[in-house]
Amino acid sequence: MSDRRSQAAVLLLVGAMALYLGGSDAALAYVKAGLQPLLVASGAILVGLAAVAVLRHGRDQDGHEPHGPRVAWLLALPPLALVLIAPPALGAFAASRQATKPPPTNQVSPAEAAAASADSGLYPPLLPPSDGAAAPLTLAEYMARDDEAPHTLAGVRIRLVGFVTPQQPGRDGYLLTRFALNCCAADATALKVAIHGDPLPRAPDTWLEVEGRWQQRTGGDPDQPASEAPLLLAESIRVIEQPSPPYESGFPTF
Amino acid sequence: MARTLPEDDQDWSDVHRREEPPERVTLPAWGWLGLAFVLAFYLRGPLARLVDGPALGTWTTIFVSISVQALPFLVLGVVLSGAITALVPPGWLARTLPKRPLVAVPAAGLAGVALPGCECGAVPIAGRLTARGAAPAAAFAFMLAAPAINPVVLVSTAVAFPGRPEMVAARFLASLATAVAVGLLWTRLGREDWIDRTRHRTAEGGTRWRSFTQTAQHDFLHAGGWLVVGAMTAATLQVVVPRSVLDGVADYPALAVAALAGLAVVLAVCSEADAFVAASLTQFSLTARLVFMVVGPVVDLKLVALQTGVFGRRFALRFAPLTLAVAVFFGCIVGWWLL
Repeated sequence: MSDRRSQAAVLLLVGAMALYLGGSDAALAYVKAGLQPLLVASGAILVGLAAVAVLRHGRDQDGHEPHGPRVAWLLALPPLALVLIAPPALGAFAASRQATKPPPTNQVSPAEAAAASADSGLYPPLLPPSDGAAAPLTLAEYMARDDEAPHTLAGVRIRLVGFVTPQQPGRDGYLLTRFALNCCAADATALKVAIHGDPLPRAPDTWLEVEGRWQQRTGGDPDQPASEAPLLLAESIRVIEQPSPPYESGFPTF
Repeated sequence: MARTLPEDDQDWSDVHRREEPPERVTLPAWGWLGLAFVLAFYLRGPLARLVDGPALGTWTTIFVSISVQALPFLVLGVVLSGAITALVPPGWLARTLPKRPLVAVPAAGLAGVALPGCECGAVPIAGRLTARGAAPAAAFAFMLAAPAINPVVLVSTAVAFPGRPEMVAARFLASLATAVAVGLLWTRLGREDWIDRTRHRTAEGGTRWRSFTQTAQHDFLHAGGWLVVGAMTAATLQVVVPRSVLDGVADYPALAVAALAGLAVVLAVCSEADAFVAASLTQFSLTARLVFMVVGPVVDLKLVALQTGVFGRRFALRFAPLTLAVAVFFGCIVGWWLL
């Protein structure tokens, strides 16, 4: 990268990408919404640096040209990938490469959980918004309740949202999946709930809104191995568009 | 790439240019870049189908997300490194800082508390500090400590491990010990000629504004290019090695520590988020997860690439293994003691 205009072009490109992602929902496939103000700020700084470099190139022709490293050309790759491919949010392929049941994100010991659920502080009873409607839950909360307070799930009609990941061979149904993001897509953890009772085959990566009832994971058959993922017996299923953001938040407070 | 292209110092309308042989390529490098984008825009349909494979799509998503996530912190880092060059007179640091490593290195490590950010920003800052005359060992202690023990990271650790304040204390102690130990070891083992000083050369003189913008631009292009190298490597390993290979080793303490140290290097997660990843790895012992949080901010693929960009390859190849060994050591010791 030998001349100042090339350096300015790369700075401008990366800055423009940061500004675009800072103001667009497209960014939510890669990072959390909280990063967007920082992206706008850094994009503005980079565009400013590019402007200074261009102005300076016009002003002084004293032969002093700071040589940039050739590796800096690689900075054009992330913007190029965005324009070219617009990589989608992580889907069934990435989900199938993680363990079926990641451990619950809660760090509460079983004794604490029992005490907490006894006074209903941590897992209050589920109240549907109106009579006959289903109570909406995130996959993370469904999994945590299944693990630590299953009685709060029993008998309630529940609504979950996720995309389809194929089950391991030899198991029924499919896995309703959504990634939880802590920081960016590189640290995404796949949350999976096994759906039973869907009469239709579903293509991987189809987004679904599933309403149904919680089921004991072990089931009644002692010969069947216990499901690794929590179970939901589907009663009604609707195909939906990918929600925005496509990920669940990795931690409730963030 | 740029080497084969003409230096584009002259004006396009320069008369002398018309006398050059016609076969010479006259499109400057930035022109090629623009052309690539125009082509990319019109070819995006067919190209997108070409890379429709789920593995390639996942690779691109992870690559873009690591690059985008690190970008604001890198910009913060190069703005601060520009400010160091503009505001700190040459030689001032060398005169002001304590001379004895036993004082200077721990002090520099503790000073890391004051930089709220993650590891990408700390590397160019350390590069500028050494260029401004700080002892390399002290600058390295600062570089290793800052992303691990600043308040933002400690708070996120406390949030990720509710009811376990000892985890925050263990992380603080093990990370600070790692930073100070690596700094002190470097005063013993390190050689000055392993650090590539030519990479820090920028225009001296001129106004403060000029040296600020030139340093920030120079450091961003250097470190940013290597950040992209690191993001590509991390994305490749994440797609090639499924995370489920970890599940088999959780029950063996030594293997678990090694596996999570390796995961920290490969994942290249920002230090402000790694506590949440560690918290979700509940099949592993607390000590193994502490090692994950101590290794991540000091050695990972994007960090090694950044250090290559700022200090040179000879440096990075020696510094990364040293840091990894020390970080695993202190993670285990503190974990055994506190957890």
